[in-house]
Amino acid sequence: MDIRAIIESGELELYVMDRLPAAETAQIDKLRVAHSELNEEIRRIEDTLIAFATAQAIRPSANLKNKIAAQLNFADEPAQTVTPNTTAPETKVITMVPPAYRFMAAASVALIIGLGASTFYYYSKYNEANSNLLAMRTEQNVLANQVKYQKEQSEAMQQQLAVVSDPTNKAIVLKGLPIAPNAQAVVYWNNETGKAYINSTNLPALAANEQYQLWAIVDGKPVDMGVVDKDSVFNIAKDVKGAVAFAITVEPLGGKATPTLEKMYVLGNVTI
Amino acid sequence: MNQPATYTEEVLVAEIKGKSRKAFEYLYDNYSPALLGVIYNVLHNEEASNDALQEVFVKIWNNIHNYDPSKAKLYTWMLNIARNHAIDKLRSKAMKTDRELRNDKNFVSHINGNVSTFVDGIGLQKLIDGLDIEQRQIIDYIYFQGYTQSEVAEELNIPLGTVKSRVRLAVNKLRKHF
Repeated sequence: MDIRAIIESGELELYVMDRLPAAETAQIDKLRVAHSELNEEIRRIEDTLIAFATAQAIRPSANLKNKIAAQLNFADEPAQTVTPNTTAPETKVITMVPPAYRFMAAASVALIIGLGASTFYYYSKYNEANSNLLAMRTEQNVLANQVKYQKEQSEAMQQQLAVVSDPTNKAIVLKGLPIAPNAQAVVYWNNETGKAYINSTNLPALAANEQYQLWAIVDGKPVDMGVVDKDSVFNIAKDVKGAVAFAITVEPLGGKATPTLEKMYVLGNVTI
Repeated sequence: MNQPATYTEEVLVAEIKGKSRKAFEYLYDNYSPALLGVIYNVLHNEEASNDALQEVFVKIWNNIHNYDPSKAKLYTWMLNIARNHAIDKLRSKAMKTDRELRNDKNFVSHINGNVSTFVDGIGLQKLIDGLDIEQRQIIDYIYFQGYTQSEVAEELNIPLGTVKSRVRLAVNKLRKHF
C-alpha cells in the first residue's frame, strides 16, 4: 500500500469531509492506525477544515441557546455541576523526609516524577492554549462579521437619507389598483440625472415563480426599469428621463420585455 | 465568550456523556458560531439555519456515545453532523424548490458578492479569493452541496481522480491561510 500516493490522492480530504463511500472510509480507518504519517496528515486536514469552518462563523441569535437547552436532558441543573478543568491537572507535590542515605535515590525518583508531571502539565497547558486560540479566532471572526454588517447597514441608511433629503429628487407614491388595493410603493426619482430608487416594502407576497417589475411611462410607452424584489428598501432601478408615471406589474421570474397590464398592482403619476 | 474555563476535547466529551449543563453551555458558546456558519453557507436561509442548528445540537447531545476520538476530532465530528444535516435539509423537497427558484444562489455565485441580510463570514470571502474557479466549484459541490465524488465527476464530466486531486489542491490552498 503506497501511503504517499493515498496522501496525494485527495482521498483523505474527502474522508475528513465525510464524503467517502463506506468501504473506502473503513479502509482508511484501518490504515491510519498502522501508518502514523497518514494519521498525521488526517489531523492536519482536520485542522485546516476546522479553521475553514471558524472563518464562516456567525453568532446565533441570543434566544437560540435557551431554546436548544430546553430540548436537552441534563443530569444536573444549571448552576451546580462538575467543574471543568479550569487549570491544568494539579501537579502533585511530593513531600519526602527521607533518611540521608536514601536521599540520592529519592531525589532521582522525585526528579523523574517531577519531569513526568511537568510534561503532562505543559502538554495540558499547550492543549488549553490551542483551544483558547481557536475560541479567540472564532470570536474575532464573529466580531469582524458584526462590524461588517453594521457598516453595511449604516452605509445603506446614509444612502437612503441622501436620496430622501435631496430636494431635486421627487417622491412618487404608487397606489394600489383594484386587483391589489392594499399594495403601495414609493419611487424616488431625479428627472435631471434620471436616477431612480424604489421602496417596495408594502407589496404583497408573490408566488415563488413570480417577480415584480417596475415600469416608467415615457412618451405614452412603458419602459422597463428592472425587476424589483419584494421588501427591498431603496432598490436602485434603471435610469430613466421624461417619465410621466411609474407602475409595477407582476411578471414571471426575471421579468419581461413588455408589461402584463392585467397584472398591474400599483401606479403613480409624476406630478409637476 | 467570557468563560475562563477551558475543556480539552477529551474532558468535554466525558462531560457531555454525563449530560452536564455546564458542558452544554461551553459547547454552545464555543462551537455554535462555526456550526451555524457552515449550516448557513449550505442553506442560505436564516430561519432554516436556526432550525437546523437546534436539531444539530440535539443530535450531538443524543449521539455523543457514537463519537470515536480515534476517527476524528470532536470538532470535526460536530462539523460533519452540522454539514450533513444542513445538506439533508437542502435536499428535502421544500428547500429544494426554494433553492431552484433562487436561481442557484449557491456558494460560487455567493462568492461573487451578493449581499445577505444575514451576516456572511468575512474570513470565508478572503479564503475563497485564494482559490481558482475549479477549486471553488469543487468545494461548493462537495463541501457545501454534499455531492459524492462520482456525482461531481458526472456533473463536470471529469475523471474521478481529477475530482479527488482538485479537492486536495483546494484544501492545500486553504491550509496556507492558517
